[in-house]
Amino acid sequence: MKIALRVGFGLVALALAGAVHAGKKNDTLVWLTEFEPPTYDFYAQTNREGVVLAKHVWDTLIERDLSTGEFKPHLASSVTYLNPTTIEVKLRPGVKFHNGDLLTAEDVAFTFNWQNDPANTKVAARSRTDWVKNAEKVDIFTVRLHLKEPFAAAMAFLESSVPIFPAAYTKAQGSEGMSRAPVGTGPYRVTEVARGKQIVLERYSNYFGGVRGQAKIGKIVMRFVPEYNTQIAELLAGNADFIWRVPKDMAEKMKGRRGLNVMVGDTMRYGYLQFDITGRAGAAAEPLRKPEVRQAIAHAVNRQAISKNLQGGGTVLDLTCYPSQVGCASKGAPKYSYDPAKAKQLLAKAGYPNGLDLDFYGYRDRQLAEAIMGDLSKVGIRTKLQWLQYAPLRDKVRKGEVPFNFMTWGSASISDVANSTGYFFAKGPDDTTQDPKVVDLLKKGGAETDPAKRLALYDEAHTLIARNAYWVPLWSYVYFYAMADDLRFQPTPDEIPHMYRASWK
Amino acid sequence: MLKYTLHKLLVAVLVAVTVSFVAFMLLRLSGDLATAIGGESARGEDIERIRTQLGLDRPVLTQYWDWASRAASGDFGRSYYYPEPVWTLLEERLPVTLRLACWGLVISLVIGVPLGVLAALRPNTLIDRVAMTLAVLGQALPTFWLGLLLIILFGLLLRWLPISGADTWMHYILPSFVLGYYSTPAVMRLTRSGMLEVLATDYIRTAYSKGLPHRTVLFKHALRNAVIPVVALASVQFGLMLSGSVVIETVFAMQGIGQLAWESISRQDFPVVQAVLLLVSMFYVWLTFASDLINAWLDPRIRAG
Repeated sequence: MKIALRVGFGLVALALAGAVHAGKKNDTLVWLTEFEPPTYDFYAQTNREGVVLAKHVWDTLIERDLSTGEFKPHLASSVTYLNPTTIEVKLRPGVKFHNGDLLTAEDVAFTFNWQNDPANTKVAARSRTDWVKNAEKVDIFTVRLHLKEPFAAAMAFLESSVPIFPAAYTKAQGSEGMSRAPVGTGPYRVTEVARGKQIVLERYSNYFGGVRGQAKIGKIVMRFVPEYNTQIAELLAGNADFIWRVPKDMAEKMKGRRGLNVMVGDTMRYGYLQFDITGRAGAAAEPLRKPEVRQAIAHAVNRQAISKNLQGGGTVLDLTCYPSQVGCASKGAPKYSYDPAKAKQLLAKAGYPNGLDLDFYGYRDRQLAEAIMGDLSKVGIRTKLQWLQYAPLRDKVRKGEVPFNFMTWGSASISDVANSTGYFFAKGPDDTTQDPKVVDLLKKGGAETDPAKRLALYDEAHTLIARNAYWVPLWSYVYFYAMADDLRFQPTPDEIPHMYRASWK
Repeated sequence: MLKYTLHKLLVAVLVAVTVSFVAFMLLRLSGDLATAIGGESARGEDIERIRTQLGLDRPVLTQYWDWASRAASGDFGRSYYYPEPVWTLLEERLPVTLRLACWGLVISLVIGVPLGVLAALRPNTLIDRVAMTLAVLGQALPTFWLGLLLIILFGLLLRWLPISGADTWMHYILPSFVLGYYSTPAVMRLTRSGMLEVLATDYIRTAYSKGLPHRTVLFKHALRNAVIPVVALASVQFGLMLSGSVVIETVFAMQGIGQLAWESISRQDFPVVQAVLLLVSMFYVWLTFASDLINAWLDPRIRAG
């Protein structure tokens, strides 16, 4: 079926030598995407399209400057720690929601308290806000966030996970009303919600600007078209201006086509090899408890070649996080180059001169998993592939039944190691290492509000993880984007096309 | 007739119970639903909350009983993905699929029956072979392939028809043709064999010997009897179109039941999957029932038992 679809695409691509696009003429960007979010209430869903739309319709208290990576006040005029568990936010005055309501401290306090209220059963991922115990309005433009405990990733969460909702409108309309007619302060306002078909956004003329700046394109129509061949046909026919997450082979066939522009961009999602060394996985995982075996695996996999040739790009990673995440750095962490001879030496040292057999689990990107297996077999590690769906595999990992697996992680687009290294190695349900030293360092790092001290703690944790090869970080994933060549667009690693930054050439 | 209807009703209930029970159990064998629904970014506490909220912590049989007793009164529960009752989703999506299936059926009959008649009138000639080739092509071409070819031709090269969506009647032309053409061969072959059989009977010879015109014999006497099995087949084809438009709805981005089922399976939105399965199986049961009644009307021998 897949091969036939690829051939089908070949026909579509061959059918036209070039494409003519009408988007610029009427200042309307037609963006085709695979999935419709279940609801347009940001907090009631975790769908990627929902996260993307939230960036256009709502604003957050702080914003990451996409060119420097720096956190800057956005809806806020200042964000200050009064003590390790209290953050005071002063709001920018004069910001108005799309329905004309003035943004006040009441809206900020309501957003946190409503999402954390157990009576609000619509919340999809409470972890976005539940690090705040409660939010207190001090005056019309001042609000205090009282944290449950010191939380160093607060800035990253404020930037990515907490868009501010209008209190009065949300109270009156509820989650369903917000989904039917979303209202925010963002650079675009929603003018049409046609369920199952499309959502239409128009530039908000009273937008305050802030870190994001004014949107340049007048109108965005996000249409839901599940099949990539059809998306490409619409793009080639000039009925669409932008598609994303295009499969690599399809993207490569479109490269160089007149009227089209194909781009590749790194994302925060990365792949990793994980070992269960807690003893829960039984005899099957016993060899993996020896550091030399794990280090041998790290040297055996040619990450650069696999990433470049099979997925078309990506950054080879040395640490258990994405490089732009706050705290993703280490001066002392060793790097594992591709060195099959060294891998064999390490295996011999560990007592496996003739190699060993391992069960290897995976759930996506089978061609990448098989390439890894091929490299491992070259040094004598014979793997038996166990292919599962994501949910049962994750359950098994959490139960300690998986000795060795290949999985991926997107950090929920949160630019802080608290949601990568801090999530996997701090004795949470997915921690298959449970090294007390690493756990201690990460817990201290998660609570440390002094940035320099925090970075030092994470540096040490990353050094320990890498030295022991608790994981083999692989590569970041890439997205392929195809668009009308009169569209100026710059991809970013957070898996969010920021269309308020896009413009017509 | 009352006994006959009651018997059919009993069969319908049994089919519904069996389909829903088997589907319920199979769907729950595919791993922990709460983890799947929570997705990657859901933490342990989120997953536990989802499990409790959706009642997934109860025994499976209890869950089935609750679902079945509510479904019996028309309440299919709420979608795990969309914040809406399942019935609302079905109501939104059903018209697109029904329209598509109706047009598909019309196209398959409009092409299949005349081709079958033509092939039967000139058996083993070039006409017959061309008709058979067309029929074989219809079944041999995968629907997504034909869909893409038509998109290239009419959507990209000629720009006569829209490529995707379901906004206007123009949007239905390509997908209906693809859907209809796929089931044309069955209609054509059955019409051909039925006509060949009927044309060889004594009463047709008698009709000709009475001096009746060829057209009258053909359409009034022969075709009427030859299409009886086609009616039964058409009802089955209609059921197939309702359930089998998954690929076509996806290729043409039409928000019908088929696309909803496909999306719901990938999202493990089981209340929706179960409701769609039940709905489609009920369509089959009732379409078969309707075809029995129509056959009885067309053929007095069936009425007489």
